Amino acid sequence: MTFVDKFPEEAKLVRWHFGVGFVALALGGLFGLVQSLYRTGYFRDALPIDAAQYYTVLTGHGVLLALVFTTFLICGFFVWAITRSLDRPLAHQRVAWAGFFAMLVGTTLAAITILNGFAPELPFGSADVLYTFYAPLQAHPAFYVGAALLVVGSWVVGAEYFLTYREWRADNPGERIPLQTFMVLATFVMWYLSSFGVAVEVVVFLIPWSLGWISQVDPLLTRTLFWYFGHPVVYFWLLPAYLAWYTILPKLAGGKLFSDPLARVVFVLFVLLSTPVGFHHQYTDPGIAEGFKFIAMTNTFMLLLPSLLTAFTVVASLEHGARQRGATGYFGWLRALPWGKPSFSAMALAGLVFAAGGFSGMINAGMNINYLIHNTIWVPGHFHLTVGTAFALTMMGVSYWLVPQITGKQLQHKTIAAAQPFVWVIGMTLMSNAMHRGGLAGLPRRTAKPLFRGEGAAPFDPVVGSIAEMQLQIAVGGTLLFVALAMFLVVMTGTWLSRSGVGQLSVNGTIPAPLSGPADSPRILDNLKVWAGIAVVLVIIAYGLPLYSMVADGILSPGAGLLAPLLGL
Amino acid sequence: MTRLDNNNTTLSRRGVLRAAAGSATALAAGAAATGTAAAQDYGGWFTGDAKGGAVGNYDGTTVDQTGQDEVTVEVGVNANGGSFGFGPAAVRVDPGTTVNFEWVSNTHNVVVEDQPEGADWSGDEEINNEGYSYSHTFETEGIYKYYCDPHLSMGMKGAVVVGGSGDGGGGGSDAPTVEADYGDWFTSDADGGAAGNFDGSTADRTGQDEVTVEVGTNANGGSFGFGPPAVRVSPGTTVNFEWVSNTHNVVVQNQPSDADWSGDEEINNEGYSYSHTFDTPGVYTYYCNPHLTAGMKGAIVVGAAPGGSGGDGGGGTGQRAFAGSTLWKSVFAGGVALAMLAPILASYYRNRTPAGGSGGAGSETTDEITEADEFEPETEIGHDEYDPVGTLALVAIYFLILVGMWAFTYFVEFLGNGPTIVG
Amino acid sequence: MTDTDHEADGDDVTRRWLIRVLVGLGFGIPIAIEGATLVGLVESWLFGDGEGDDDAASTATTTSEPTTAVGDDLLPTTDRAETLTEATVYARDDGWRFDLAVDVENSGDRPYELRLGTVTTQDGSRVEGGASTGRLAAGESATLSASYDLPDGETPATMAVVGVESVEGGGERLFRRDVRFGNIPVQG
Repeated sequence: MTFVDKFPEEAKLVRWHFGVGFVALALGGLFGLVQSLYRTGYFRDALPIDAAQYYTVLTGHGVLLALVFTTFLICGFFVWAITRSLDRPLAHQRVAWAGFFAMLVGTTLAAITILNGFAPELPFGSADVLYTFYAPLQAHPAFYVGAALLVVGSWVVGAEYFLTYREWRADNPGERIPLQTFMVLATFVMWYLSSFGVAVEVVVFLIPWSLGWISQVDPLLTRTLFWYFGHPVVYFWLLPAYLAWYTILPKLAGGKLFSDPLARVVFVLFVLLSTPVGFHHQYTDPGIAEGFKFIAMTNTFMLLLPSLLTAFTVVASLEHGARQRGATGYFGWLRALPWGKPSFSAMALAGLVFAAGGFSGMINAGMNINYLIHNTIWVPGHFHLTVGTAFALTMMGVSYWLVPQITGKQLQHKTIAAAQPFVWVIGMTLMSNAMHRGGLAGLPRRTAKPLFRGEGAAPFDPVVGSIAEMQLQIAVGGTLLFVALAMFLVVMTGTWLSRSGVGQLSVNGTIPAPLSGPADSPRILDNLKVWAGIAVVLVIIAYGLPLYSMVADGILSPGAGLLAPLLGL
Repeated sequence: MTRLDNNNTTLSRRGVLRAAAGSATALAAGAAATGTAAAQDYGGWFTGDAKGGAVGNYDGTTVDQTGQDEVTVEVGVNANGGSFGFGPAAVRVDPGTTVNFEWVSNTHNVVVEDQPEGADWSGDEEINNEGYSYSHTFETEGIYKYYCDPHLSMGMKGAVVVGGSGDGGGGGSDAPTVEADYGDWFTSDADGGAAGNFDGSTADRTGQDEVTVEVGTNANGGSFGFGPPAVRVSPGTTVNFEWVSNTHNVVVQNQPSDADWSGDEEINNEGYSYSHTFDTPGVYTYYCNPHLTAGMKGAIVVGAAPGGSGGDGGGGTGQRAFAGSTLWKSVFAGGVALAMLAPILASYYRNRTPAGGSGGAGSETTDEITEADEFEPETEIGHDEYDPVGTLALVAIYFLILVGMWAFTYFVEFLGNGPTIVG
Repeated sequence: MTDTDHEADGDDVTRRWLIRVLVGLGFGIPIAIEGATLVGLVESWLFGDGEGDDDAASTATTTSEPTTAVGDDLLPTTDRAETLTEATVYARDDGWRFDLAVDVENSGDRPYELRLGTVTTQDGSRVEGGASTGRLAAGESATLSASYDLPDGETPATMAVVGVESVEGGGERLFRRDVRFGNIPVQG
């Protein structure tokens, strides 16, 4: 029985989340194309933007894809995961819809302020503050209100997962939490803990500041609060991809998950270590003691462990599928995998690209070696491998498999769908490889015209290739990515518009039981309260003293002392 | 003819492009008229064929300074990859003119290479520094070639032409006409962003003694414009730059070779003002350094317009009338197109025969949606029989790549370069 | 290639070939690109910076001539000591200023003069200015200090330095060098 027949209301909720996410994806992807062409100088004059509006495009690309697309897809995907794995409808559907509408309103507000950079006749003011929206760049209050609503809306949707779980627990005392539910809850424990930082930044500091209620904010404090959220957010994107790789991908390969307990261990480690790592984005920030940066670095490197565990478990599960298809040999089994099935190839390729992204992530996290690439185009090169492929391409694969199940409609344009993941990976390789090399040569990120000065490419010192060749690769890669995105959207639009109930679906929603089930693991793994408690302690260790010293130095004006603003000094 | 309409923030980029394209043809038509001096043959002196390097700051024109008693040549101007030029490199004067050589940078001299028979110029071979000056009165007609000994190889060479025809098409000296040709200065092809508030038109303020240019008017997505961005004045006009918003300066990008405008590079705030009197005819371009990327660029044309004043770029205002609402029109058009497309697409997909169709009942709609059949493995492999050797092989390869790349990056890239921020 | 596709009609064969080509490209292109990058990296590591560096504009701090910092000799080719003793950029409200001081010791046996010339900033602006020790007799020492007004926000990259040695018979011998600075501290 398909998901839409069994849980029609929940399927509707998932559809709405995916629909909004796809609109954001379309617009953000278009901005990405404009960006890659403008930045590299190809057809710069034909593009309808100027250098200042590049930053509007950059903000739109970042916010719409990294914040809006991700959050909507995740919240919708998790509604499916909770409902399916607990095998019961949501407890209080209105709560989830309320969260959805809060996110929708927030997105609309933020989108209007961003588009204001093109059309000042739109309401509110502009918000060319990039998606890393900390001081001193200031946006219109509506942008910050929108961002806050997006985060708070996701909290409300998340509350729904916990409410549903509580009802299930009341009916099933003593049972192990189903794996998908466990993953959803663990992800949201981490999300509540980490997104609290950005909520404080926005609500306590940026909104009053943009409204003029307070004249200044402490840039270091707001940056720290942003990055307190800014790194864990990448795990908020990654963990849903992991959920798909652990629970859906083995099935698509024709096998079973290798180990359920290992998957739980991985998610527990992410709950513990995701948050106390934000300082590794601030290695060059003054005012934070080296020791605390060091703690962040060690925590970040410890996060390699769950990712390597994942690589092992997921690949082993795929191999299991291949062997069940009759494959043999050390590498021959790779050929037996269903590469023509878009849902499989998208997720598998996303995992492969993530393995490469893991390497550049290690460079980013190394406290010394980070200086080599800090604020260069290496960093976008890195996160286009992670959020831009590991997350985005996985979600495309999920969509190829899940959208037929939540709509009851056949997937259309199967050939386009089958080709799409490969086009994406080729485009991403071209773009990201060139970005990494450009970063090593010192090419800056967040810059409309990196060769603005009269010397052109002369100040940069590429080890391999030339700057011009990298620019070309970035432009071609960006274009291919846009083509792949358009292919995906054509398939989705076609599927969405087609009639439901016509013929048999090409997908099957059954998920087989793991080879090694949860019964083999200690029950403490399921006790999220314990892990959340330890996570809070780790956060206090990593952030307590630095945050205290920033606050004690003067919340709004560093150097003034804690009470100075109150005393009117 | 005032175009000081600073409501340009509503102007869409596309509107600007249209307006610019309209005026570009007008500009191109008159571009050929520039160039003020006759070609002069120096027998290869300024090329790299003669001794020393080629002279980068000689562009084929000989600056016509005839009719003046005293003429200045700067020694050590920015050229030839350093402060290694004479400015101007080639100058034409009347017989009896005194040429003042003024050192504007260090360690230069003036050595005579060649002069007409009967002339007695001995140059100044002593090496001197900035602030030093030396003069000579040229009586004998002919071509004098000279160079700076320490920087000869750089191409620091010059020439003085005494007498001869001075009418290279410079036009009447009382009313020089200057074409408002800014090249690509206002587009994003030049340094910085496109100046969104330049609509192709040049505000005509000729005949006035004092002209005001506002610095930091609303344009280019903020208070990043000069108002008006392009203005035409008569020679001798004083232009007052008045700051109407904060953190701007006025940096000269280009000016006629014999003009001496230095701009005002100090960054100042609202209320500040600065003025300069423009004597030399020609086109001056300038910008605000902090907001160059935003497109805060300007130009001043000194001299009368050829063929009637301010006739260029007439299409600008007409274009702007509807440019502001372009966004809404395109949004509306897009919405209508989408609304029309949606039913077409929907009916197309609704009538599409289902692909594969295996097991499904053709085009009949069923109440219950059937899923694909469950996957049947060829061989069922349980937990105990399964030995993931392939995974082990892959993970080992990945691990080796990681270790190799890490070692490579650490030892080669990092140790080779050293940290740039600490240490 | 879906689980339900059992019959292998013509369409299916085309599709299977398409997938094969795509898999080939999808893995081949990335492997080719990353492989080329790795080979290039190793090559430049092994044979680095010699003839391989074809773009003459390579101005990176690491590969071009060594930088000069406080304590270094400005003109190593002369047998006199011209030691950079101080070099600081002062970021003041009224503009940025580059101050430097050089200790010159004429340890040669002929009169000697050190002249400082134009400074080029990292952004490529040229700042005229300079200073000279004047003629130093043999054995004489002097401290030369100079100050340059920089454009706001720019730091010095190079400075033209000329050492002038008087040759018997009235001639001069010039030692010229564009000194490339290392990182110069900026003070508020």
